[in-house]
Amino acid sequence: MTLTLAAVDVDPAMQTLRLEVREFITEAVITGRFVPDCDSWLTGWVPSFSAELAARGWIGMAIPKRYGGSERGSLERYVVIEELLAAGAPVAAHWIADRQIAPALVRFGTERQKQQYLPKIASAHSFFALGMSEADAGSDLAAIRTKARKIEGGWRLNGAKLWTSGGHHAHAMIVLARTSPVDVQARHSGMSQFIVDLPAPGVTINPILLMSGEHHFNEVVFEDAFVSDDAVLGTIGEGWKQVTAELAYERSGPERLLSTFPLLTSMFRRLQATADPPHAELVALGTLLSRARSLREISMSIASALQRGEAPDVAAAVAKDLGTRFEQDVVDTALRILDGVCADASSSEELERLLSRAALHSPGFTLRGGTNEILRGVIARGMGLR
Amino acid sequence: MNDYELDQIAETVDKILTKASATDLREGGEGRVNNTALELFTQAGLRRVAVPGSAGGSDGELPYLAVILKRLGYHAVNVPLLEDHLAAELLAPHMADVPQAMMTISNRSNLLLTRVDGRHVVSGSCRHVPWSRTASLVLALAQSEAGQGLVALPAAQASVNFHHNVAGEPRDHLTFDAAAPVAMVADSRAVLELRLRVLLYRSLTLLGAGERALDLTITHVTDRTQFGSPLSRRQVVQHYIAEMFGALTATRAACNAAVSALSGGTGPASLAAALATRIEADRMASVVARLSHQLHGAIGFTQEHPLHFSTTRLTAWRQDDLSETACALELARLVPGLGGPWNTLTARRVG
Repeated sequence: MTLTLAAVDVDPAMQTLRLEVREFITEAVITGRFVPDCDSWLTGWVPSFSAELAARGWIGMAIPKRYGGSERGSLERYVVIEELLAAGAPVAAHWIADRQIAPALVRFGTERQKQQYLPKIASAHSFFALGMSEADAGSDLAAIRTKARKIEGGWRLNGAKLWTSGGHHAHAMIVLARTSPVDVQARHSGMSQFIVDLPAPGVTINPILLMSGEHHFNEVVFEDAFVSDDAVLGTIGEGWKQVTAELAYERSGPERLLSTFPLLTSMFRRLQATADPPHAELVALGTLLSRARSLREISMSIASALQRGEAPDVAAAVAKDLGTRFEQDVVDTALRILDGVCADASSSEELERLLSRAALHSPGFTLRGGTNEILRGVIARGMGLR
Repeated sequence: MNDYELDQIAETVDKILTKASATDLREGGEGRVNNTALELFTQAGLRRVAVPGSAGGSDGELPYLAVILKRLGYHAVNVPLLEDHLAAELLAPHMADVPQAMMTISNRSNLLLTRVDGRHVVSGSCRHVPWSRTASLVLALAQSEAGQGLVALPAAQASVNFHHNVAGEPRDHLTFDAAAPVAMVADSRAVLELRLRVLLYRSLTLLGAGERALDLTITHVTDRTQFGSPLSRRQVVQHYIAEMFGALTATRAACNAAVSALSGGTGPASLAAALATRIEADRMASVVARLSHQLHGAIGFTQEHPLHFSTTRLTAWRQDDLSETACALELARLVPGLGGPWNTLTARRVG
């Protein structure tokens, strides 16, 4: 695997865009439109902020203009989202729709689906959730049991999805379901994707609280829920292929390394305000920054490779394995070096507040989007070891 | 410059080093320069590839040198090209006729430049100087009343104590007593160039050494059978390999970015890039040396197995120039001046 250097940091147009986003963020923080937070792409569900971004053309940047997008391409999108993530801006509401659903619709959607959903995604009027994992299908996604049964004019869904982030707010979700029984010789066949508008009869959404007490996860239960034939995304039986086609995007984006960056920034700020910062703390932060630098290079190189039409799956697995462990290292470093600072959600100190959020969210970093252990298997397979 | 040209260079370097390593037992090893390889590099115009033609170079660009250094690290052949190249490129703007004979550098020197009877003299010591016994000149950091600068000293004027690093490469201690410098560079920019370039160059050779250790390890775990199946079938073995691959990927990414940053000029941003790269390379060296030995079992730390050529270099080269901790400290101190951590990462690559 070799990666060519990304063009993101050397292109003056990208730099202009970056400064534009930065100016917007600074102004938004000063006027109190958002308070920087860690893991803001999961926790920061603020539709009004999403609408502000949409008004500037910063959502749906990879969506063609005729479907309401700004068609600026995935590298420009990269610049916008990494600036927002590094600043801890609330981008959760539109995150899944913008990152995953829009590209899937562009690639696999019918003309009718594109016209129905893409303009609303780009204008931040349609937020999506993802229905993949189930109680008995975590890392082993092919073990899903949710079924879609063909009936006149459509399909009946039965089963339950788990860990569905934002399902209680979303306007729609994409559900992966079995459309034919498991074939032990080809477990990945016989799955299909459906677009389910929410709320809907036969669909019940039950909250599952995180250990912090926050409500992001849900269980989504389908009891004879009806979807029409128009709701099939792509081709019946091709669900697995369609899901994995987007994995490199899902695994290599800046959200896989920047979830705790606001905490790192805050730690640097604290040291800068200290008259004679302890060497050990400077060394710890310098080491983290060197890692952040490499990870960002890897992530941007993958974005460039994807733009060129390549499928760098192994590189994406490396990006996520290293990136999410770095996110945890930031938290661990904070816990290790900060004397007299305590993780405290209700603190008036930014650092204590950020640390509280980061510490409570950190176990999820190396789990979501494919556990790191599964990813290391992907890397080993890419190297011919299995 | 394009990817094709870089591939061509890598191929030529691989040919030279494969040919040369066959003679290595005779010529190299035991701290001797592999002269076969050195001659072939010179003939191919690859010895001072990114040095101006006026100083005996090939007028190439930094990415050419980067490829060569990486492959040198991979093959573990004794050619002190890194040190010679760095000395030549730093002296080129300041010296009319840069010597064609091999040169080296010392960035851990304790030298004082003074004036005695109207002439400049240098006294003091340099510890662990790479390959000085085969060098004509030593380009070293020296302190004077005016501040820090570089001095080029004839190696013949030093009294020498022979030492080696754990890879068997010469790292001699030199003492100078009122030696006459053949060139002086009283320029803080040149001092910075020496400091940051050696960090990047050493990172590239470390990267090559790490890549070789991983290749050897993959071969071993695929070939070696225990409990009735190859080691590579075990999940923990696969995870160790993935860990090594990840560390190498991070180092490669850091090196690419630093080559780009240094091509843009010299300043705090390129210093930050070089420091960050070296931190990554040193951490990689730690991970790769440890896990490649663990996966090789007993055979890996014998003379007869080639793994030690790579792992002793990973250990030795980490210790050259500046420690990982010193790099991290300096990097963290640069951050406020560069506008905070995020700006440090995203600043346009100029200077």
